[in-house]
Amino acid sequence: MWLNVFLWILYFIALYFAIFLLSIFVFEPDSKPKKLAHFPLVSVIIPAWNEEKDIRETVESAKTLNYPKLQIIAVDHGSDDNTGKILDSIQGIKVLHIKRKHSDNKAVAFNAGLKHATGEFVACLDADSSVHPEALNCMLPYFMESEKIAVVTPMMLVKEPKNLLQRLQKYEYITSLFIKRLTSHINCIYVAPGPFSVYRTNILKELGGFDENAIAEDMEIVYRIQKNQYLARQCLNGGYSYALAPRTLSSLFKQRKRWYGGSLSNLYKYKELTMNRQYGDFGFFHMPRSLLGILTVFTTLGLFAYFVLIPVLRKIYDLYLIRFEVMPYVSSYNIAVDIFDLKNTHGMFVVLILMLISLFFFVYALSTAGEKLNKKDIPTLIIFLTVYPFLLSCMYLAVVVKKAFGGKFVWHKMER
Amino acid sequence: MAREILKRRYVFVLIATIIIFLLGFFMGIVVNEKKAGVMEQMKAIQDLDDLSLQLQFTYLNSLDVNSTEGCKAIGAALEQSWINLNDAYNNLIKYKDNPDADQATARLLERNDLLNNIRYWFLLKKAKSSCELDDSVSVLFFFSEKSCSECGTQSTILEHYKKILGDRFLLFHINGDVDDAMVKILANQYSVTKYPTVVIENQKFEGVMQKEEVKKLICSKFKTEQPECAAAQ
Repeated sequence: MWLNVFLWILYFIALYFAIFLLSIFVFEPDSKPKKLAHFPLVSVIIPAWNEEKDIRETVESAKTLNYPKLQIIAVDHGSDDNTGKILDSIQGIKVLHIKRKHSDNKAVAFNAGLKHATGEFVACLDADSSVHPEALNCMLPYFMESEKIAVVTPMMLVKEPKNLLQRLQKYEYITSLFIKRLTSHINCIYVAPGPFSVYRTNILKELGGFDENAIAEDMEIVYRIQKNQYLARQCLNGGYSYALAPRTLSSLFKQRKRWYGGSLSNLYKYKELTMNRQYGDFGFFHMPRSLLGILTVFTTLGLFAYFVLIPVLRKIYDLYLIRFEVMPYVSSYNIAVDIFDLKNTHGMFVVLILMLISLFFFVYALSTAGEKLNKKDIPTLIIFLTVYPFLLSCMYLAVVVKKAFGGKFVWHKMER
Repeated sequence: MAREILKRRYVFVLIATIIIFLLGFFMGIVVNEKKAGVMEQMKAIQDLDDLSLQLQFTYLNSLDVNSTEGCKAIGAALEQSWINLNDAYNNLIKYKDNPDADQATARLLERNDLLNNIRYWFLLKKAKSSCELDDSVSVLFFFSEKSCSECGTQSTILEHYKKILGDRFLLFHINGDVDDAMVKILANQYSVTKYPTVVIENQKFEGVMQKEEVKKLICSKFKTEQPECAAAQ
């Protein structure tokens, strides 16, 4: 009975947010950004720590940006490997060598670069990522809309996905990009990915650069931007950047510890924005959605256990009881379904609508990302829609538990 | 400076959400009504099956001859009635499995189904005593959902043999939780004191029996050789 009431409340909340997003999709068309009147100087900062494998490619990708006024600043953050030497050998860029303390994160290196940046705009490019040559030409026009726009985020995709985990993340990035595309219309951007978010330099400097103590500095800065009544925009037409996605479960978990841990810290740190009129839809839509998102994660886990895990275990036990004598069931298996197979009769319509909206968003997101589906992608898609959310929920749960018990989060280097 | 809030949008979305919600709720009610309707109809069919069988017995008895033709007809009628009984039982299980089902209705339907089962079992006994029917084993399975955690295990194993042997294995689920005098009489007759209790052709077994034991017992009760019993385990 109580489980039912709880489920109902949850369905309602989930449906509300889904319909809200759908209403943005229907009523707020993507507007065409203005043309660039002139080409302001753009500084690209590449913070690097032990990135000898990728750093050359990353710098080359920045150099191939099709833009006339570029200043590239690479920051060698106390690397123990050849990153510094490689950087010194590259022509036409400014290289900073700074010392590294144990607790340092990317923000320290970026801020060091920021001091030397003279561009009107400054972009951050993670050392293991790359950027599309036309990215700046697509992104900069968004700044022309208002002086208040402090950051424009890229259309970030997964760089050369090879294994299953990376392909799953590819779909995740595409979906989340589509959601950001919608929430950008109501000023609800809350994260600026390391691979090529572009900031207005004077605002970023006024706010004091990245927070060197934050777990997720790329999220903290956007919350700070929102809190100071500046705006953030998602680039909608091109402006691609490519992030290296974790290849193993353990490195994915490390990454998510940072993401989810950062998201929780920021929700807490900026809690006064919640339902605060001053912050408009960011306070009324984004903050509650993120807070209730935590609830959704727990419910995903609960529902999965209740509807999948327990029945499957029970089925296995039943099979053991009949000593795995399954032939009679296989030979007379009947896929006919009748009205009595409809369970949870009151909730199913709502769940169906929710699934339809999600599926519509997903398919639309894939098509806008220019993703063509082949037959061989179907298994990945099925895993993406079933097991993957459960996997992420487990990771989220682990992070929440760790947070609750006062665990500390440290910066990890991505394994590959 | 306060930022823009899409006030009307929040209200509009709320209304849309409520509409979809109510629509879903009413659809749920309609589906549940429909299910109850189907079960009502099955109940009517079983009543007719029973009436017909009772009539057949009375009529044949009044002729006072051992009619093989009559027994054949009764055998066929019993078979059909058993199929109907099982369909109704399967629907009941699914109906009860739905968390949104009306619990009062479910209890009524369950009681009705249980009485139908006992009625059939009784008729079968009568038929077996006066006619030569196809070889079969009938089993009364006394269980409780409230106070017996192992009953599910026993049920799974018994259901397995029902699946294998089909209508040669007549399994009657007697739910001890159902508040009905007939259930008490039956439980008294076999002095059922604990769950699960399995009565195989008038022989009582208490406690959970594993698959091998169940198989041995069932096979020993058949009068003729059954291929499923001959197969090596």
